[in-house]
Amino acid sequence: MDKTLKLTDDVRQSLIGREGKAMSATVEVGQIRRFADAIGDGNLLWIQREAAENAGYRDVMAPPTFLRSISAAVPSVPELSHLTRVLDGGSEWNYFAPVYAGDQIAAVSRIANLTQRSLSIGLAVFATLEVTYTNQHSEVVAKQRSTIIRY
Amino acid sequence: MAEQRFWDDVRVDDLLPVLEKLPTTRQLVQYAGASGDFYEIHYDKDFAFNTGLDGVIVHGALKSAFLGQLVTDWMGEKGTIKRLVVQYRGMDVPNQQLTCTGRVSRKYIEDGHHLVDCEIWIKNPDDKKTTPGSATVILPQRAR
Repeated sequence: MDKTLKLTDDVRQSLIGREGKAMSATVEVGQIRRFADAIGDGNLLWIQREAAENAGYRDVMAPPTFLRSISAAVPSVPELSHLTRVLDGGSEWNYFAPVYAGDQIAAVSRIANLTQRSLSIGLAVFATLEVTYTNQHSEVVAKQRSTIIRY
Repeated sequence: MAEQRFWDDVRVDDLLPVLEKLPTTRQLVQYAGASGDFYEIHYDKDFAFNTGLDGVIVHGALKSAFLGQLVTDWMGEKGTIKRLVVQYRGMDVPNQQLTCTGRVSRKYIEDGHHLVDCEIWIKNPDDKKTTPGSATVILPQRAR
């Protein structure tokens, strides 16, 4: 395994903009409740339809980071397969519309940027992955940019 | 359920009420299942050792979820979250108390929306900010 391989400009340019396959899923109320339970968040908006309706919403809502569970197919990057270790550097979410139980959400991921940096753990490639989530009304409900560190 | 927060009542430098979390390995497995993130460094100790870690670590995305809850609890049910930014600066391990809190950094009106920006963060038991971030919310106004 050649861990010293540099991310050449050519490889970098060919990877930026690469998209994963679009994935689509129906948001099930049980899936939202399981997610809320897993993160230990007892907010009734994520659990009870009646509570959500009383607050003026049309159905059970998804908590802010629920869309992590609507998996987007990550673009395939065989060019970086020699970097087998992966760390999550962080996430930036922008929200444009609520996500409700019953929504049909399509998720598409795209490599927005790539840089190479030298870290204490060795040479690492930082990838910015942008996932766009769109509902059944063709409304973009959220965008998530995450930083993935491969080394 | 937390009470409703109104834009009128918020002041810059207000602190967000602390949310304490104590993620266990059980919770990491539960989160892996609920989120679909089955990367083994979050539940397989041998695998984690072999990647050079001292043991399993908490999913960054679970820490984002904790900070999401911090913000949605604080804003109340009629608030709307617009933005949530979280950086994983330090790793956190299970069975350690994580203290989630934040501070109002800006209050303003933009495009007719009444907005508040907050700095948010998670501290580990050594008082180190492992997970800083920020959030923007729209809050309702009091009836006048």
